Amino acid sequence: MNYTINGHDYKMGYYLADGIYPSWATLMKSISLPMGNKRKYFDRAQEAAQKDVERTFGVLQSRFAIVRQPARIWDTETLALIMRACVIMHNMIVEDEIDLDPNERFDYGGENVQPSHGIPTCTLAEFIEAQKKIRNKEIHFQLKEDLIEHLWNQHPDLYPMEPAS
Amino acid sequence: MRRNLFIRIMNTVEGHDDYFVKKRNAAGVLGLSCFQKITAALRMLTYGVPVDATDEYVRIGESTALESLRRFVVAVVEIFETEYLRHPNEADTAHLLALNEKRGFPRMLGSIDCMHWAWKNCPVESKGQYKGHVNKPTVILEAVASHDLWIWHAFFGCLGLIMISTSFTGLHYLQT
Repeated sequence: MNYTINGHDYKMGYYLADGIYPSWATLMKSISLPMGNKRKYFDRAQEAAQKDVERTFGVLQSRFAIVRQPARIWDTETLALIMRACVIMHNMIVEDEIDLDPNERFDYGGENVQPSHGIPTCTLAEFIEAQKKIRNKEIHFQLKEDLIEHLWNQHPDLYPMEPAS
Repeated sequence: MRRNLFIRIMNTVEGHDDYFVKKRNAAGVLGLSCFQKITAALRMLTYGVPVDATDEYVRIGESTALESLRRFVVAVVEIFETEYLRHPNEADTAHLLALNEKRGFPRMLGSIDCMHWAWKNCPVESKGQYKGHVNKPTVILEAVASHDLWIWHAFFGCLGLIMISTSFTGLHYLQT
């Protein structure tokens, strides 16, 4: 599935991440010292959207206090099971409490998505090739520039900027 | 958690694991009910109370409470993982893409970050393994979440493993 941003073609999706993540083609970070209004606007938009995961952790911790305080369990297997169970029950609560159009989601909506690039990787060479694509730095920076332009041109009023102090 | 959701989880877990069914022992004395065991487990999860503090409310022994916590999390993972921690299917992906397109990020599939969970009782011999930029041993949950707070992928472990698993998900999902 290809898509075009600002005249360039891209083949992979991406996640929003914060500053400690590497510059991969599949991760989009904010700019630490944005210069100019376009970049400041992108920065604001990226942080506004990336905040979702921070909110999720906050809600998870307030729902399951065991995750907030130091764990008293002795082995990693039980810790992992507790964390998985908490995440699963968190999702169940999200589904239970959200006001959602009933035909929008949360049913089995077809098969799992099938990746399109000859995945699963069988040989070592294929694996390395796929890793290269994911970790491609040039694509990362090109995608960032294109997203900056895209946000500035297509969605100029989506995220209000604070007045300069 | 609403009451009807609690009841639903309780009934499903009771049907899944025989341990939670209320039984008589050889002397004919009734054991603890499913309500007691699951309430004890959930109180530990949601309020973070110590194990021996649960008996004041639900009249359950310390070792039984621990046992039911362990069995409860295993049952929840076994029963509900296929639905509530599934990989996004086609409808999910389409929904996510449409939502994020509207927010100004075309082809964006979610936000990723890590959360540290301090581990007080980490065994001494593996303490170094679980330390990172935080000076105490922590285990890390790395998750991908969307706007409605749904968690799509969750990895759990120590530092080095996380980035590896991230790039694996990248392989299997981002290239759709």
